[in-house]
Amino acid sequence: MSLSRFFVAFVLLAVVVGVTAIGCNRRKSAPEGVKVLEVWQGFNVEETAVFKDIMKDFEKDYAARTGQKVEVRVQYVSFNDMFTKLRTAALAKMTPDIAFMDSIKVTELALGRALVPIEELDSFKKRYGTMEKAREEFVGASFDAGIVNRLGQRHLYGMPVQTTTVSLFWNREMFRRKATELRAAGLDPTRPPRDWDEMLAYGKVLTEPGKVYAFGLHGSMWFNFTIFNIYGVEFVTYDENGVAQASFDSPNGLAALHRIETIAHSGVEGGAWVRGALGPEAGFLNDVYAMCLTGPWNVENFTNAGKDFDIDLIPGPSMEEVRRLGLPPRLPGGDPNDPRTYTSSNVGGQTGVIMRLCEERDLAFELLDYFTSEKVQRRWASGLGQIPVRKAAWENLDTSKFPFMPKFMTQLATAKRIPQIPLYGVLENDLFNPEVDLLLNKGQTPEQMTKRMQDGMEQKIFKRINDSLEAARKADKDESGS
Amino acid sequence: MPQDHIKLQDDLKALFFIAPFMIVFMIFIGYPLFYSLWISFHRVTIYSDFYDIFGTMQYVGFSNYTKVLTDASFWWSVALTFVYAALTIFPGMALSLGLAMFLNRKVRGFGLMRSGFFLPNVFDVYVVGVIWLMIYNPRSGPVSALLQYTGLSEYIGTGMLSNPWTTLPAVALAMILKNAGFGMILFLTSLNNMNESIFEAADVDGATPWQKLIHITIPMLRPIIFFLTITGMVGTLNAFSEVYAMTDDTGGTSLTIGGITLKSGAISGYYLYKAFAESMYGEAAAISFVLLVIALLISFVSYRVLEPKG
Repeated sequence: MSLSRFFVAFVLLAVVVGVTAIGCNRRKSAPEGVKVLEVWQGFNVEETAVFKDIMKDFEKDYAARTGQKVEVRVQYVSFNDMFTKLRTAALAKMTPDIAFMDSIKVTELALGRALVPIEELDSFKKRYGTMEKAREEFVGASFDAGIVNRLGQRHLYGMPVQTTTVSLFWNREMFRRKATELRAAGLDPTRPPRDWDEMLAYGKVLTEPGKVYAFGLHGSMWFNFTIFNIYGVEFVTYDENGVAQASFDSPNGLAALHRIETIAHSGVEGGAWVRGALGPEAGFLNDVYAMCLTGPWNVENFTNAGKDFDIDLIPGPSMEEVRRLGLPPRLPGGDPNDPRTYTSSNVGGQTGVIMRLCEERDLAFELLDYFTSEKVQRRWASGLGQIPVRKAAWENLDTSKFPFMPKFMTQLATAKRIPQIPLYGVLENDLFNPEVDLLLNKGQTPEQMTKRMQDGMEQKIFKRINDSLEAARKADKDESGS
Repeated sequence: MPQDHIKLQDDLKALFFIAPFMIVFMIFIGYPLFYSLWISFHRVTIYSDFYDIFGTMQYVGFSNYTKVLTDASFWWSVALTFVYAALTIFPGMALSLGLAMFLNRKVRGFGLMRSGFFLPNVFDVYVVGVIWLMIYNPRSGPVSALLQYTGLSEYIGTGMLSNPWTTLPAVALAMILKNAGFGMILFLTSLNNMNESIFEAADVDGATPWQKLIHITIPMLRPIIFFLTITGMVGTLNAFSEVYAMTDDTGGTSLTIGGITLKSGAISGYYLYKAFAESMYGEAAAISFVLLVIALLISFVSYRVLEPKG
C-alpha cells in the first residue's frame, strides 16, 4: 500500500470513529417549549398503528389540558428483544423514557435500579393516592406484575398496558362425533370437563390411541402456571428484609406435579409436551387433540381453519383436592360446589415502565395513565380484540367483533400473577423444563421433583438475591447520599 | 549516517506500517481480552445497577473460577463436548476424505456434485439446525419414518432429539453432513497436488489400494488432517447454534446422573451462552478462560501427535 493510500485509509477510519463518537453522544433534541417522551414498544403491525394514533391523541389531550406541548416519539423494538435492548441501552445510558415490555422481566429491571417507583410520583399520588387504591381499578393479576419487593420494600415499577390469559379450547365437532359414547359414560357431550378428574373420564371416551387424543399438554413452564395457580402453588416468599425463600416444596406444589404427571401418563394425552412432537395448538388444528389450553392469539387461526370450537374455563381441581388443600374460590360469584369456581390461569402481557433516566417522570406517568384510561382501553379492546387492563372498560364493552373475549375475561378474573422471580430464564430453562422432562419421562417422582425444584431455586436464584442484599443496601444508601 | 541511526529509522518505519494493524488489534482483540480477564474476577449481582453494570460489579477473586470448576454441569458440558468432538471430527473427516477421493476424477457431472456437497457449508448453522429439526420430527420427519420401518423407533421412543441418549448423535450427524463439503474441498486440493509418480512406484511394488491409502495418501494429507482436527476442536468448544436450534433452546432432554439433573445436549458453548444470556458476565468470562486453557491443551496435544513431519 502506498503512503497516500495509507493516509486516505487512516482519514476514513478517523471519520468513522468521529461519527460514531458523535452518535454515541446523541442527546434527545426537542423544539423549544416542547417536552419529548421517547417510547419503546413491541406491538405487532396492526397494534402499532393504533398505538401511534393513541399517542397522537395523548399529545392533543395533554396540550388541551395543560397548555403545554408534548411530543411522543414511538420506536418499535421487537417484543422478544426488548429486555436485551434495554440492557444494552442502559449501559450506554441511552434508554427511552418509557418501555412497554414483557411483564415477566419487570422484576429483573426493578432490582437492577433501572426503573422508577411509580407510586412515589406526585402525579400518581394525586391520581390514585396509594398503590392499593390503584390496584382496585385494574385487572389484579396484571397490576401485580408491576409490583416488586426490592430490599424488603414493595414498589410499583410498572402499569399494566396489555394483558392476556389462557383458557380451555375444546373441539365441539370431535365431542359430537363421540356423543353417544359420552352419554353412555354419563358425560355431557355439549360441554367440556369441569375438573381434571372429569377430563380423564372424557379422555377415555374421546381418545383413539395413535390417532386422536383428548388433550394436548404443554411442556413449558409458562403454560403450566395454569396448573400451579389452580393448586395455589407459591414459588417464593420475601420477608420484611427482602430475603427470598423458595416455597415450592409444599403439599400444593406436590399436588400440582401429581396432576401434571397424571394428565401426561393417563393415556388420554397425546404427548404434545415431547420436544419436536405435534404441539398442543398444531394438534388441535389438525383434529388430533380434542382439547388444549391456549390463548386469544389462536382464535383467528382456528376460526380461519374452519374449526368448530368453543372456549371455556380451565377445569378446576377435584372437590376432594379443594377440601384437602384448602383451596380458595377464584371465580367471582362462583358456586362453591362447582369445581370451576376454583379454576385459575396464568397471566401474560406487557407492563409499561418508566426508565430511571427519564427526566419527565410525571409526564411519563400521565402517558401511561392515559393509555390505560377507560376510554383508550375500550378503543384498544373493541378495535384489536385486546382484553382491557382497566376493569371499568369491561362494563358494556363492544365485543361484537371478538365474541370469545368475554370468556377470556372471565378466566382472567381467576388468574394469578407470574411469581416475582428474577432470572426467569434460569427458573424455566435450567430448573423447571429439565425437571418436568424427567417427571414426564418417568425419570423421577413428583416428590423428587418438588425437592429438586426447591433446592434448585434456592441455589441458582435466591442465593444470588440474598447474598448481595447488604451490598445493594449500601449502594442504595451511597447513591441517595450523593 | 551511523548504523544505529539507520536501524532506528528502519524500526520506526516498521512500527509505522504495523501500527494500523496493532491499533485495530488492541482495540478489538487485545483490550476486550484483558477486560474479560478483569471481569472474570468480578461478579454481577441481581442488584447491580443496570446503568453501570461493569462499574458496580463486586470483586470476588477466584470465586468465579472455583464455582465453574466445581460445577458438575460444567464438567458434564466439557465431557459432552469431547463426545461431540469424537462424533463429528473423525467421522466428518472420513466422510470428507471419502467424498474427495470419490470425486477426484474427471467425470462429467462431478463438478456439479462437488458444488452440491459444498453448498450446505455456506448455510447458516441455525438454518441447517431448523431444517434438521423437521427431518427429525417424531411424527412427520423422514428419519422417524425410517426408524419405524427398521423397528428402531421402539428403542428411541420419543424421537431422536427427545431421547437423551440420541440427542447429541442426532446433532452431530446433521453437522457432519453440513460440514463435509468443506473438508472435501481441502482434501481435493491436496489430492490434486500429490505427485502421481509416488503412486506409480507403489503400483510397481504391488501395493494394494488400501496400502496406498494408509501408507501414502493419509500421511501426505497429514497437514490437512492436523488443520481439520484443530479447527474442529476449537469449533466444538465454541459450538452453540446447532444445539440452540435443534433443542429449541432447552439444551436437550434431561437425564440424571448421580442424582444431578443434566441436559443431554448442553455442550460447553451452550453452557457459556446460558451464563452470558442470564447476565452472569463474571462467570461467563471465567468459563471462557477455562475453555481457552482446555483448547490450548488440546491444540498442544494434537500438535504433538499430528505434527507435520519434514
